[in-house]
Amino acid sequence: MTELLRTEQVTKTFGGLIAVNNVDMAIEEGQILGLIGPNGAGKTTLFNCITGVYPITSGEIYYKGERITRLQQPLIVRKGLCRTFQELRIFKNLSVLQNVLIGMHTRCKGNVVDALLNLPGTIHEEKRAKEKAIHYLDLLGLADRADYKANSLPYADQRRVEVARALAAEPDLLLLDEPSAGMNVNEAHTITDFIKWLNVELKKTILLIEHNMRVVMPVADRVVVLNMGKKIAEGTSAQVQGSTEVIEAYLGRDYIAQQM
Amino acid sequence: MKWFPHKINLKWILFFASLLVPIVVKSPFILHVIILLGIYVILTDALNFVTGFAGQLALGVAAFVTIGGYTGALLMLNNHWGFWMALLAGGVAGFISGLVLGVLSLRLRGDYLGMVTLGFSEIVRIVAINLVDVTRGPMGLPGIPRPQIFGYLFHGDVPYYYLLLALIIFTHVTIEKMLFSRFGRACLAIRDDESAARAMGVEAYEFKVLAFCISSAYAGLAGVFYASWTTLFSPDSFQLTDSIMISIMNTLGGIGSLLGSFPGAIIIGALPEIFRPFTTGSGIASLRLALVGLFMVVLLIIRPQGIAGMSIDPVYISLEPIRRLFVREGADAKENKEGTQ
Amino acid sequence: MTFDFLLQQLISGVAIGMVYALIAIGYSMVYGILKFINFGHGAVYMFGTYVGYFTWLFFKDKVGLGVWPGFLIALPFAMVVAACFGMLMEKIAYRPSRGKSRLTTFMSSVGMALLVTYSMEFLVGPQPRRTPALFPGVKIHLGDAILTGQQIFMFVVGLVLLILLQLFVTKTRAGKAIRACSEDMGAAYLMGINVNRSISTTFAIGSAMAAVAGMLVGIYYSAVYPTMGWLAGLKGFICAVTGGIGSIPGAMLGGMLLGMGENLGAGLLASGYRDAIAFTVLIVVMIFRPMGIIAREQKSSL
Repeated sequence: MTELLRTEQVTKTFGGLIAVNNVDMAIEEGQILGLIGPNGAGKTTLFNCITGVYPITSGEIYYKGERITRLQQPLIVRKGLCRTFQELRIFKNLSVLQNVLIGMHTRCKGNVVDALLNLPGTIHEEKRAKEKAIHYLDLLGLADRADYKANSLPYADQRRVEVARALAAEPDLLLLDEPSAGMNVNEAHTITDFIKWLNVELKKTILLIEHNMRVVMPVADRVVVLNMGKKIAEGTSAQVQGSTEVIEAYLGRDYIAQQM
Repeated sequence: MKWFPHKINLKWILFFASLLVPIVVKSPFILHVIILLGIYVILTDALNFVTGFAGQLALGVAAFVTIGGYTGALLMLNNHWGFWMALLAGGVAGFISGLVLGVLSLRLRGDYLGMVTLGFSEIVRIVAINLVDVTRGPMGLPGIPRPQIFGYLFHGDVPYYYLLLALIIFTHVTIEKMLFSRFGRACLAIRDDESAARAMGVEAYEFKVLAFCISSAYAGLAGVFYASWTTLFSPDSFQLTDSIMISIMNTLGGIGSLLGSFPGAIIIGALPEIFRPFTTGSGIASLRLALVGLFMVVLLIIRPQGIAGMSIDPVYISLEPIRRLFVREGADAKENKEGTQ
Repeated sequence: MTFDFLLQQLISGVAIGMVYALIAIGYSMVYGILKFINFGHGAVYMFGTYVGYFTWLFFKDKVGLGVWPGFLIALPFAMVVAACFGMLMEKIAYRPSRGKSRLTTFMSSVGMALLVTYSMEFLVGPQPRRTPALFPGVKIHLGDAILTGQQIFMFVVGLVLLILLQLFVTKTRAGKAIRACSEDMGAAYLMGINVNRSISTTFAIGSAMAAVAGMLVGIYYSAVYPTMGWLAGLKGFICAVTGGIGSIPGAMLGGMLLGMGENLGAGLLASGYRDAIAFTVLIVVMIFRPMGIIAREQKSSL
């Protein structure tokens, strides 16, 4: 299998705080990689580094063999990486359809001048974009609510809008930031199936940040564990669950001592 | 007559009504005021493009009106350009100066951006006053030629009114076209959540600058029109307080709405005229601005989204009552036909 | 370009710079605590000045006390009235939108500025009024440069007030409360600090300083007029930003720099461009160092 994304010694500091500390990791095409770790471990920061939100302090990031380290966000999205947000950042005042159309921004053409001149090519392009957007909404069961204002939907559906939006960018690598945040146990179960579906049916490689072990462990091919910015373990779900360092990171040294 | 429409877009009513205005309005003073209100509408639309569709605060509209106005006026006076070319030049001048200011300042946060645009506006005004060789300083440029369109030389306010109407329609149609395009969508996304927009690949900074330039271009057009209409253009024609007034018109109408500029501009523009019988001329000017300020404070407390909010939906007027008058017979005839079978 | 000419520009620059600093304080402190630009500050400056001016005339002429006693009564009175006015403005116009967007509050302050300025213009008329002189004829000659009594007075008064203010903010409980609110309002609230009172105090201090500044300026230029708050207010803001918004020494530094810079610039270019210098400084500072010279906080982007 080909390697899709690789980070080499990626470090991000904010003033004196080292948020991400020399993290090496790689994800292969078609894989689901889980990124876990206690709160404040640097998981979302690492996401932000990969997607170009933060300029990295040192290290390199490669995507499909190409160096994407200092690239601006629009270019990174065009290359095929797209993300969702932990705290749900859909465009609340726009319609569901418009949200997905924005997701398609990098995949459709048309600038101001085209819009003003009313060229037939532009009209056709817009039509094509709309059809495609409806297609993505349909995949996620939202097509009937395309014209609803985004924040009028229930929370779980808003999350789906966010995923539809990310899918519309036609990424090869989808970065999901805590997709089960704010969901109850039953909804979390459907997330696991959902992630599997994204991976198998839609052929997306997935980099997944999760706190909920019930979501991540069954579905991840490999797991990377971060603690205080450093990678402390890597392996399959089973390997990671058994690792003392990981347990120590989550539950503390005293717990380990007690178990002994 | 089954094809009789159920509803009609408000725009058509406004359009036909506005065609009739100079015929209905007899008082030249009122027509004069209406033209001024029309200019405010264009400027409010221009500002709205930046505030409502790209989410940036800009308090320096006057700068671009001044730049556009001087460009057009000087080209008409010194180089004997025709009106339409001067109009275009004014728009381009507005665009370019918008580009300069935008590139310099659009990385700044909201209120800071407001202050910088304000500062820029003042710089433009001061430069206009001091570059006496070019602009004749505070005395302004008099004798700006009136437009000649297809050989007809403008005479009186009425032809200016129709020209203004054309400009307003141009502004609205083009803004609507841009809004419902990939570019417009991206701007709305930027306004809603800029970080999220960037995460989806929207080139936020570039688009904001572009929106700013477009907005300034419209202001420049308005400036050329104003210069031509008043035949005199000076650094005081459009000042800081005018910029703020346009801002309030924008807020009142609804930042981000498509049609809010009309009620916003008309209410704020016409309101002080109510007080005309009660105070002197100079008192009116002060009172207008004080009222504008009061309006702003109150409005922002009780209804910050203004009259039309962020609505970009078309507004329809129901024609049901009229339709029923015409279609009833048709329906009856159809029933009869079915009945006899 | 003689030495005396430079010295003259320096003198007037420092004198007016101190006044700018007094105005800048209001912006700085309010921004520090509420994180918004109070555009209405210029109007308060003007209002305090007019109150002082009319009171001064009243006690000078009507009561017959003369120039200095009249001034000594009018100045504190103007400070108190301005302080109350500033606090009132905050309560009516800014507090209701405090939780909401910062831009809304800023636009409210713009509205306030218009309301106050043009109501005053409507009431008293737009024509400038002559102010009495405090130090008629008092001059010190330094070569060809002249240092007037008024300039010394401005400098001394301004310096004293700024020092007192810095002491207040660092040594007194109320001052420390204000600083705490500026650092982290939520934490200050949880520590039992009366946040509303701190905010009101901040407005009161800034407004009182502005009233002093206005009186000094009015005497210096021998005139007060209703729209004096526009330009002075904007320049005060520019000083606050240049020096470092939220910082009191920054306000003074900004004031000095702008005061001297303006004079030098006006001396070198045409004097008509004087005001444009201030705005150019603003744009330059905003592009290259928006946190000012004495940067109080490290802003992380996003």
